[in-house]
Amino acid sequence: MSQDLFKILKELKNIQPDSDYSRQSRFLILQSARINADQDADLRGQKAWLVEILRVLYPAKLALGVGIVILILTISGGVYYINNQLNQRNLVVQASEMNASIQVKLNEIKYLLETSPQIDSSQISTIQVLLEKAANELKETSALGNKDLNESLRKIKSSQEALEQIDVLLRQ
Amino acid sequence: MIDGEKDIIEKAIKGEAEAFGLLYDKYQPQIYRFVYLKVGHREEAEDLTHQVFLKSWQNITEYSFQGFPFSSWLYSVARHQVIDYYRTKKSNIALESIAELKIENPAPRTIDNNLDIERVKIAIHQLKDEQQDIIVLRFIEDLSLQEVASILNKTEGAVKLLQHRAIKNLKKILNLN
Repeated sequence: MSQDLFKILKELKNIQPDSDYSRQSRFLILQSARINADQDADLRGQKAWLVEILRVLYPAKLALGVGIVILILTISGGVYYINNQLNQRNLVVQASEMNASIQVKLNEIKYLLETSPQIDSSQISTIQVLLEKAANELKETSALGNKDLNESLRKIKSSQEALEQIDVLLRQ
Repeated sequence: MIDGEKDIIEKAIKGEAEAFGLLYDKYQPQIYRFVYLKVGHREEAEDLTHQVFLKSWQNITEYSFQGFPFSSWLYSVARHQVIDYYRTKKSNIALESIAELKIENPAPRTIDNNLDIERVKIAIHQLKDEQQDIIVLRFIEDLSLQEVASILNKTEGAVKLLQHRAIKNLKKILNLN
């Protein structure tokens, strides 16, 4: 056997992992990393955006500006929480898409606030009510967690609609 | 090494999961083999290998090209993963792991040959940690002295010495002196 020792060592190269295990491990590694990267990017984007909205609101001295920012913070936090909670592949995809859509809408609202020459106080009140609605929907979604994922998605959609109404208001 | 490996690694560092997937496909079998021969337990080897690639993916920005295939870095991560495993679970694996040592997907061979392979696997498992590394990397995976020295963070001279001792001890365990 002494002469064959090196030959036997070479044969140990035949050891292979189970193919089902390898497939599943590969999928989990790549999937989890992608979700984490997406969440990090979302959070970074939200933080940058909030800095921007503060910059816009402060010089404009809008009476309810601070309230709006607080609500937007709540919404952003809610969106991030939802991404963490809806940890089921297809729902994560849906939640991510909605998150992206909410981000776009928030950016549009920021742009409109920035470019509108004047926003009267009644309009700001309405905006605040709608933001409250969006924030509440997301808060309730957070409370639901994984209990009723369809209901969670419905609430996210409802908050999206509230943001769209704000967008329409600002464009008038 | 995969064709265009440097480009693939750069893409993976930028966060392209598909690029890391290619590295996984290429190197996962040999990292699994390395871990399996060190821990001697299939399920533990699967868990540890999974952790090795998960950590590597999460920390890939720390990778820097040293002139060797990407697997050199993976082996280093795997070595540390196994060391951590022994730190936390060393008390209850010795006997069951020897019983577990059996080859998957063996090439066709006689019963006697098969018994020899099982004996060698058990003997490797009885070697000291670094000697196991040398046997697997040099004689099973055919890595160069230079690459093994880089993985083990030793000089080539030290690797040669370790290699001599590892073979001597392996033969001793197998009563081949």
